[in-house]
Amino acid sequence: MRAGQEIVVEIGGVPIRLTTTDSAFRKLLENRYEGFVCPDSCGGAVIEVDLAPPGPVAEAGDVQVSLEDGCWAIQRGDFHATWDPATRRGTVRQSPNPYSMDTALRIIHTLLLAEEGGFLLHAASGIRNGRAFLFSGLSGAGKTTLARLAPGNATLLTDEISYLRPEGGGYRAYGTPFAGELAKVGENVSAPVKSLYFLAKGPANRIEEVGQGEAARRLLRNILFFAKDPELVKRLFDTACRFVKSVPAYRLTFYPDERVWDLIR
Amino acid sequence: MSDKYIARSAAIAARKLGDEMVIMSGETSSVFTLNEQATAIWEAADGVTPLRTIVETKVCQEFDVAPEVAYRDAEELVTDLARHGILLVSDQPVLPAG
Repeated sequence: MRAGQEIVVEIGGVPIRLTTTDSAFRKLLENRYEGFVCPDSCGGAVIEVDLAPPGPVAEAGDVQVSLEDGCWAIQRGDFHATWDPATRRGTVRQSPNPYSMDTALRIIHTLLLAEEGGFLLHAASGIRNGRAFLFSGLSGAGKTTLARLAPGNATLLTDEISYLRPEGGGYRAYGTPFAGELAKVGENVSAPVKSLYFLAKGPANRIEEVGQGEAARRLLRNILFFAKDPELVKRLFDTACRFVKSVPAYRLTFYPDERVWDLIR
Repeated sequence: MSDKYIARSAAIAARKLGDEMVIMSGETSSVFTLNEQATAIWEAADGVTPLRTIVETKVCQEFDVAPEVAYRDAEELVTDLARHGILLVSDQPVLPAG
């Protein structure tokens, strides 16, 4: 390994050292994760990147995550990764593109977060008056629209993937570099979560309370999770139930103009 | 008249939130929410208490529903839950899982 070909990417307060022998790829990663690169972090998690030449056809396909002898194997058409939760070390074999690493990082973060009761959520999120607000929904629900309409006094954490970790009796939301249609990375800041909104577009702005049962069902539908491991699935279920008990959930029907943010307090 | 016996599947995770029971299938990751009456039946599904007894003691008395109506609804419910693999239904008492 040549010295210096590594960077530490810290997302959600979790630093992961990415090592590569390729200086051009390191530079590419530096650019991709700008704002989330720590110049000097002693994070224990390490991913060794093994670059392969691009194949003739770059079809990504579905991702598969399986546990083999205590080590996670993560596979998609464009990359193969491993992750050992005991040593917090992993590998990624991919061609020199940012997208494969992005997916591998998302999955490894879901595995790391699952251990501590956190999760990644299909949600835009932002901070206003020191508290974080989550706007959850699958593709087309309006996450990017809402993020685009955010007023100047709101700090955008993400328009696509929210990063949530338990803190005290509640949860803290962190900015992520995982951008959606807005193609803009979030701010690398965090705040305690005040409320969760499930998005729906409509003719007028309206907020309705959502019961905990429905909130848990909707939340589970929107949590990023790839592993089929029964133990992890149960842990995720417990996490979702704990989340809806500590964070109030609402259905936010909104007409796409900036007035919707008047309701977000 | 033969009766049914119902038992919760071992391959699920369940949690009561408010008045509702939220259930996740460990096999398919599908999530179900049961209303108050269905939750009462679910909680009483011990594998040895006949469904008719569960309906009489947990549904009719608690929710003021006519027995035959309640039993018919309960049969539909348990058949549906069994179809999703989260409840076991048998003509004989069911040994508890685990």
